[in-house]
Amino acid sequence: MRLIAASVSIGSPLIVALLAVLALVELGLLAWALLDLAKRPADRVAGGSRLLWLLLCLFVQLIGPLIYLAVGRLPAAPRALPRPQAPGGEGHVARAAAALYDAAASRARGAAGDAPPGPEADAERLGPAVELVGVRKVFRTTAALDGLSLSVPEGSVFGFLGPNGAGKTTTLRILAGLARPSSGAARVLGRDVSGAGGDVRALIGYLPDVPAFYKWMTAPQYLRFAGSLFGLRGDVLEARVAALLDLAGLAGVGTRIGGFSRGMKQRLGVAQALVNAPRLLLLDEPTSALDPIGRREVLDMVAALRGRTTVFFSTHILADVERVCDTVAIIDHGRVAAHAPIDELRRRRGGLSRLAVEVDEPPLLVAALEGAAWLRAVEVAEDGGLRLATDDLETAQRELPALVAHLGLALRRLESDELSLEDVFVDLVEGAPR
Amino acid sequence: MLHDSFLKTLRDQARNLLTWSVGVVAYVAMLMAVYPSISKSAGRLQGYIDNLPAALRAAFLGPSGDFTSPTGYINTELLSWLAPIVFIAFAIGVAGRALAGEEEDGTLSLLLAYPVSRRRLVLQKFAALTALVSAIGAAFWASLAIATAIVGTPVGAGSIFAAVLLFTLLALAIGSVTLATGAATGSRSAGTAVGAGVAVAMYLLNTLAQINAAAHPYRVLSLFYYSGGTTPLGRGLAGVDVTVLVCTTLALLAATVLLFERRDVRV
Repeated sequence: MRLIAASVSIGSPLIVALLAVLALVELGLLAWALLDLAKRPADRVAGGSRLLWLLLCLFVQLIGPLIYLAVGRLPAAPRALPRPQAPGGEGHVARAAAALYDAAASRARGAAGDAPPGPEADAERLGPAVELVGVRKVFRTTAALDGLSLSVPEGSVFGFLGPNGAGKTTTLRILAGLARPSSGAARVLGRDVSGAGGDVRALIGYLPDVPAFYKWMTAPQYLRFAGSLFGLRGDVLEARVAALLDLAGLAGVGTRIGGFSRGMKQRLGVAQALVNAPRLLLLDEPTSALDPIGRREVLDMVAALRGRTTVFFSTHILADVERVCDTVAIIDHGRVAAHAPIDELRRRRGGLSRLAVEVDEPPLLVAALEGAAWLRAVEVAEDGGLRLATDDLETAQRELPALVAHLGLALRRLESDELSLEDVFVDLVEGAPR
Repeated sequence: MLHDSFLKTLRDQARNLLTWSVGVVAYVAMLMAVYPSISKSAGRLQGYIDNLPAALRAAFLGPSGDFTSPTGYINTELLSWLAPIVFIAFAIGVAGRALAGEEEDGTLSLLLAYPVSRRRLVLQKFAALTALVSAIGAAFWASLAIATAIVGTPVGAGSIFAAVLLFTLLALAIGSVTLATGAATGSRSAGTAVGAGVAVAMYLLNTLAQINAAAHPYRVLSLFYYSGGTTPLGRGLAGVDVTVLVCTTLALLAATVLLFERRDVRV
C-alpha cells in the first residue's frame, strides 16, 4: 500500500477511479441483496440467509471507506519543495506586490465607473491610518500597554520597535480586533476598532508573529478560503490567488500546509495578509522566520508598498527598520519612548555625532581637548583609541587634525561615526526607568 | 469551494464523520444480527431478568423490565446507553474543536482578523455541529431501520426516527455546553471536561431517579429524561421533550455568542 501511495496521492485520478468502481460494486451488491431479501417469505425472519446477506452488505460497504482511510493516512508522495524563486529576477516580489495593488486599484476604479475619488474619499485618506490615544491593556495585574499614544499617517511604512515584552504584539492584536483595550481609544482608518465590525477588518491585512493555518489545506486552498471571506469570487479571486502564490514563491507547490517549513508558512502568511489588497497592513515580526534572501524579498515588498498602502511593521531587527521605514516608534514597558522619522530621531537624541580617533599619545590629546567648544564627551576605548562625541562635526573635523599636529602627535585614524538606530534604541530602552 | 467556516468545518470533520458513521453502522448491524438468537431464548432470558432486583431492573431496563421483545432489546442494547454515548461523545468532540480547538491551534487569530463577525462565526460553527450530529443520527436511524426490516422485527422506522431525533437534540444540547465553555475559556480540554461532566451528572441523576423515590421529582432536571431515559423507543415524540431540548440548546447558543464576543482571543 505504501508503494502505491508513493506513486499516487489521494485525489489522484487512479484513486478516484478505484473508489468509484468500488462504490458502483457496493451499490450493485446492496441492490442485489435487497432484491433477494424482498423475494423471501416474511416468516423467515431469523433465517441465516438474511443475516449472511446483511453482514455481507455491511462488510462490502466498509471496504471503500477503509481503503480511503488507509491511503489517506499514508504520507503523500514526496514532492520537492522549491525555495521561492524569483521568476522575474531581482525585485520580483516587490514588483508583484506593487502590481497586485495596482490591479486592485484599477478594479476599484472600474467598479466606480472610473470616477475620480471625491472630496470625502480624499478627506478620509488624508487622516491617520492608525491612531492610538492613551491605550491601556491590563492582564490581571500587569499592564502590557500603559497609556500608549501614537499616530501613523496613511501611506507610510511605520516601524514599531521594542524589546521583547514591550507590548508590540498586544498593540497589533488590538488593531486587528483580536483584543480590546482596557481603556483609551484605538482607531484604524478613522474608525474605533473595539466597536467596529467586519467593515474595518475588510480594510486590514494582518500577519501574526507565528501564523497558523489549516494543515490539510494547500496554499491555494487557503488563499481561496481567505479571499472568499473577503467577498472575492470567480476570476477575480483566482487572479488574486495566482498573483499571491507567485509573490510568495509558492506557485506550483501542491504540498499540504502541514508539511511546510516555518519560512514557507511565513511567506504564506504574508500572502494571506495581502489577499484583500488592504489599506492597512499589520505585520508582526514578518521577517523573523525567513532566511536572508526571503527577508530581503519581504523588505523589498514592504518598500514597494510605500504610497500604495500603510504598513505597520513590528520588529526587533533594527536593520530592517532602517532599511524600509519612514517613521519609527520605540515602545518600552507599554509606552512610546520615542516616535519620529528615523533621521529626526537620531538628531533629537542630542544631535550628536561620533568621532573615532587614534593617536600615539592619547592622554596628551585628551588633556588638550579640555575646553574645546565642539566637544561633548570623550572616552578611551579598550583598544586605546578615543571616542569623541560632538554636536559640531564640521568644526571638529577641521580643528582636530590641527590640534594633533600642534601637539606633535601622529594621527593614525580619524573617522566620523553617525549615531545608529541601535544606539538610539539602546539609549532609550536602557535609560528608561524600570 | 470553501466559502465560509460552516463548509470549512464540515470539511475538517469529514473523515471523523466517516469513521463514526462506519462504527455506528457496524455496531448496529452486529447487535441486530444476534437478535434472532436472543428471541429464540426469550422465555429463559425474561425469566432470569424477572428475578433481578426491581431497582436494578428498572435502572437498566426501565419500569417494564422488557428485554426480549424487539422494542425492549433495541432499547436496552442500543438506545439506553450506546446511543447517548455515541451521540454525546461525537458532539463534544466536534464542539470542542469548533472554537477552542481553533484557538489552541492558532488558526482563530487569522480567522477573526478577516471580516467575519464573532457572532456569525459562532452561528456557522453551531450550524456545522448540527449538520454533523444530524448526519450521525441519519446513519444510526438508517442502519437501525434497515436492520430491523431485514431481521423482521416489528419496530417502525417512524418510531426509531422519533428516538433518534431526541438523541440528536440531546447531543446538540450537551455539545452546546462544550461550545459555550470553549468559547468562554479558549480551552478545548475545559470544554470537553465540562460537557462530559454535565452529561455524566445528568445521566446519573436520571438513572437514580428511576430507582430512588426521593430523587424521582428531580428527574426533570436531567436532559436524559427528555430524550427517553432507558426506554426511548416507543416513547414517541412529545412536544415538551423537543421544546425543552431545543430551548436549552438555543439558550446555550446565545450564551456562547455573548461570552465569545466579550473576550480577547489568545495568542
